[in-house]
Amino acid sequence: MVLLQGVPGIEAGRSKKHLIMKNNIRVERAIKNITQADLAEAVGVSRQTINTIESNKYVPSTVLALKISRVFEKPLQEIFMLEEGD
Amino acid sequence: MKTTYLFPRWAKYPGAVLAIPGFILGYLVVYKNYSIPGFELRLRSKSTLFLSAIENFTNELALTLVVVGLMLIAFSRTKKEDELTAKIRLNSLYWAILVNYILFAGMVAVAFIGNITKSHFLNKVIEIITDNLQYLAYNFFVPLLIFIGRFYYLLYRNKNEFDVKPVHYLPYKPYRFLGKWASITIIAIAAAAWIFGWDESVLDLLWLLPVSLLLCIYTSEKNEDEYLNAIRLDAMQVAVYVNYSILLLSNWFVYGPDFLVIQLVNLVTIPLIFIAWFYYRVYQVSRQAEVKSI
Repeated sequence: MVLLQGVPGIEAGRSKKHLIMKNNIRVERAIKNITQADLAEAVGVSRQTINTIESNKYVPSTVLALKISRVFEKPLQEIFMLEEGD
Repeated sequence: MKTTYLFPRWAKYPGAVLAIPGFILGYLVVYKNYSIPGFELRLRSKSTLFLSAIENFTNELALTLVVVGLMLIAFSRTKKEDELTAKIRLNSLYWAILVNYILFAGMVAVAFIGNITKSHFLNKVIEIITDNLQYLAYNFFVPLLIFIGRFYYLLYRNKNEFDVKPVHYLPYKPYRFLGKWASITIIAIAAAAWIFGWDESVLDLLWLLPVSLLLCIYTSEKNEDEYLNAIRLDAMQVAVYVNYSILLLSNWFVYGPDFLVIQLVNLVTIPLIFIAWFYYRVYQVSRQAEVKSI
């Protein structure tokens, strides 16, 4: 435990603030001009699932998040980000 | 997280075809004492007080039709099965078991109050519900029915998105302590009563066991995280599958008073299988983690 003290990443991870995951899939879709159904088809889930993720009600699995970022050809952190929540 | 062991999408149609006649037949058997003429076997050479020589299989058939039909409906694939539908599925399952046991707990409470206050009205209510031990028969399929209702409600309530409702657990303190020790005490007292031949009424305590076990499985762990959550939901699915397999088999091979015992045991099998499977998986994972970290 002593070893980990002062390591920036570890300290940030221990933050007591309540963090939630947000995403800008809707914006990215607009840029790429594809529909929810297209994206759903491309990553192999249902359209409702994409919609539920877009409205920040469901946090996708890492696998699904990576698949989505691959469709948009962007790094994961440009699509999904941690924000301070309520 | 994807749900494994699901039936194909079309399975819900044969499911409905089996369940609906099953319900009608079941209604006729329980309330009208109907049995299909000739649908019987001579199993024993002589009738005894509890077991007749000729066993009619109408009630077994009805129960099998209902349970198999509802299982097919409940566990057939959705149009597009993905991680979110799997999550909703498992959440609904957890929810269904909870609601079922709350109904049960409510019934035990009404019976208890009726017994103490000698209220004529409450005793009448209990009499109606428990007449012919119908409640025990309900316990076979009510969890499945609640699950189907909840699952399809969450899926189709909103056309555009799924309704993701989190499962709420009671806090670890003090409910886990309460549930655990209440269960252990009840089992110990009942075992002692059985061994030493105490008054029969002590065994009535066993009716509280499902409630205290429920308290155990609906409290969060000390460090509940998303991984424990996934194991928890998996364990619930395993418990339901195993429970219904045992039920269907015993339905055909166990008769008379023995089957009554099975029905009683059935009240605690889901929580017990759940607890066993959940802690086995947690133990496995923590052992693997120990080996890896060296």
